[in-house]
Amino acid sequence: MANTQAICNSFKTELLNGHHAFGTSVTRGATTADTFKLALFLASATINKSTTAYSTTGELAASGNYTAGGVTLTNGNAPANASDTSYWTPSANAQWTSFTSSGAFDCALLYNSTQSNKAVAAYTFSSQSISAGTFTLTMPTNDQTTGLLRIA
Amino acid sequence: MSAHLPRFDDASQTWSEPELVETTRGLWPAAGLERVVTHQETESEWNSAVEYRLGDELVHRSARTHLKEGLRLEGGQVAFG
Repeated sequence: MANTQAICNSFKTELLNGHHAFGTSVTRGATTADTFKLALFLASATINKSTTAYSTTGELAASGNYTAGGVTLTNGNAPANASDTSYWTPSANAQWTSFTSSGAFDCALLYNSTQSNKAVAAYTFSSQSISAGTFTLTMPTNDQTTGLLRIA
Repeated sequence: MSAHLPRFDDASQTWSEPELVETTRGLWPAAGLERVVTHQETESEWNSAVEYRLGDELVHRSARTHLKEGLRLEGGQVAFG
């Protein structure tokens, strides 16, 4: 079992079907941006391009201030485009405080909690563990070359 | 965030040093703990962690991972004919 960093195949299709709205210029019933969350997964989990939706399978166990489902991302950045690349990055870092991880973790799943928890992308990083402490996932610069989610 | 949790400062690239630290044994004076800070850079991220040990026992670990870049979805080439 291993996690693999990828933009989820289901998300690619869901983009075409209008299931996701990072910004407010949507042509749907609702005109508000969807709520996106980030959840942490154990290194032994199997989060990858075939992940279609968030589930608790393989997620860190709830402990201290880590709760199932992870954290809601701050969405103060409207999607933008530069040099033929559209991009979006949360406007604040993701942070979990005062918790002890139930094991080593190396993956964060970005998902849309407004749209039935549909998966967007899986981000892997060096394996981490936390003891009575804080984990901060600092976001990359929000532009066309480093943004968290880019479509070229 | 609790004043007893070390905070990573992006500008100075250092962890704060609270006098009392939140540990697996509750609040503990930092003076009685061994403090170790590590930094690691990979192709895709910058990592930093601070650990506090009571003897051989790890009683606190905080970490910060800074992603250098996110993920990019490339459009496929289209051929006609």
